[in-house]
Amino acid sequence: MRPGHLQLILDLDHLAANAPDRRPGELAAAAACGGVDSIQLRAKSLGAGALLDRTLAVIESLQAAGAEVPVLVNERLDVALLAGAGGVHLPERSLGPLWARSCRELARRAAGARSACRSPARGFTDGGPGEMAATATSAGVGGAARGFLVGRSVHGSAGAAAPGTDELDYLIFGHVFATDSKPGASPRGIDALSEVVSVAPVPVLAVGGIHAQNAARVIEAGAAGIAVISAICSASDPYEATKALRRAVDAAVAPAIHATVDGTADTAIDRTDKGIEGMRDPGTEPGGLSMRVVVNGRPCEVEPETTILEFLESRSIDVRSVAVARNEEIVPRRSFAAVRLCDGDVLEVIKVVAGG
Amino acid sequence: MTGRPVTEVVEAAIDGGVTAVQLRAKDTDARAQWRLGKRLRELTARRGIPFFVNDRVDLALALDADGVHLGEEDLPVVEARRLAEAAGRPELIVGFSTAVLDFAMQAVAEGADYVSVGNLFGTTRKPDAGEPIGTGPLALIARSVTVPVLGIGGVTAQNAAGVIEAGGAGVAVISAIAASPDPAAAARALAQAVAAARARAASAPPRE
Repeated sequence: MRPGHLQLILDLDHLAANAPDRRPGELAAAAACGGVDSIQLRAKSLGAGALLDRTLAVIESLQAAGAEVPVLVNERLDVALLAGAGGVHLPERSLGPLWARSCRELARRAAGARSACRSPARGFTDGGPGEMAATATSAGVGGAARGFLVGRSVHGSAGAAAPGTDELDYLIFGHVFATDSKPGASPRGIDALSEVVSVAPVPVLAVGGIHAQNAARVIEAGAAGIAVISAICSASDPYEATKALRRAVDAAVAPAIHATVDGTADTAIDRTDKGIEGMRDPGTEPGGLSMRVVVNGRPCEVEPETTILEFLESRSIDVRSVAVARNEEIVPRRSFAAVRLCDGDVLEVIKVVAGG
Repeated sequence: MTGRPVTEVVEAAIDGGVTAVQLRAKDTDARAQWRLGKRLRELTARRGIPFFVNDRVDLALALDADGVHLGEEDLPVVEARRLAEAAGRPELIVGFSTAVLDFAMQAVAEGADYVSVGNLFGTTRKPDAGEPIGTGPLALIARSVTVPVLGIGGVTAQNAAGVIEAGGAGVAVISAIAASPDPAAAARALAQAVAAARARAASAPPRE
């Protein structure tokens, strides 16, 4: 999980109560396009049959939008596996972190299976017959082959330090600030977040009353990212709201990267000379089709439409070991495959050895 | 239940002649289900009778249960079977509860190993069970599917024979045993009523 992780908690009960006109799939797609890194789907009032149908519909919507964002199903491992979801998220009062091993084992065993046809006759309430047919074809026990995520909610240090927590991918701690989603319960606050972060063996996402204006506070307190419900689901424009959160989190994380760069010796920062060597290549597309960008202060020719990911890979640069700024703005690693270089772009490719 | 440990009641029920145990605990969190499930799995394995988990296929697989029992709101039978096969447990028994013939036939087509039909006589244990339906729907379903059909919902030693006469292969009970002051004796009375009715049904000339 990268620093600055942004998770949407898509709570279908909350949605039905607060924004009944909003389709979960459309909301998920808007959030994915706006920049969330994962989507946790929960609906405690639904039976497993309806939850499976809803999960399939959300995954279908994401695929239709071209968004490769993992969907984690709250609580129900069986539903997650059948939907081919990206993982499962365990409530604190569900099975403990030691269950993570069983989850992965089941996911691994189930990964090879392919869909039989589904019976859409029962429990489907989210879409019309067209969507039903679409989801029927996408059903599959799978997703696990790519690495099945297991997260868990905790509400204090004891939960964060529970045996087996190191086998999880992440924790969610909250609620940090007051939130409409949990009226009446008093927030646990920033100090409690710091305490949880200090004992947690895995990244901690902060949840509860977090929005674009206070996201930086939880990142500064040590959170690896944030999880939100209302900030996206109740926004008048979920896509724009997500983008604002994305910017806020990236901005909050970016100083951490700068601190790594500034605070370490030259050995820790290595302007990727290997890449610059590669940039002297005449290029694969001679003639007038190339465009000019500046990389680490040196001019360089690349093919039009080249994405940052393609550029880095063409120079054999390990994308996991670098931070990239384009025209003085940090580009989230998640976006490397989506951001296309433009003529005249100025890139800084910084190898970050420490931290990250 | 009446404050006795669940495992004690189950042990007594098995003493009395219960031939399968299903864990249903929808109102408790998964951790409590898991803990109780572990104890029941151990107990039923020791006594050599099959153990079923209600609703949750994942827990059924993780607890190494013999089967999973599904309702109309739960995962479709075909999905449960698919997951069981993917998880290397193709022999997992899948049961399905319904009172609707079409649903029963679809479930069997999808691979259900048995069907439970209720609420026959009015249960006090399941708030969403609806009005009692009598044995008519069970008789209809039993004639239409190839798998065993169980009667559920207010079944007692006094009315169990009617379930078997309607074509049922057996009965499933909660209160009749769990709420009894003597679960072993209650189970024994039920088992005897079912066995006697089955013997009568077997010796009687087939209907139609």
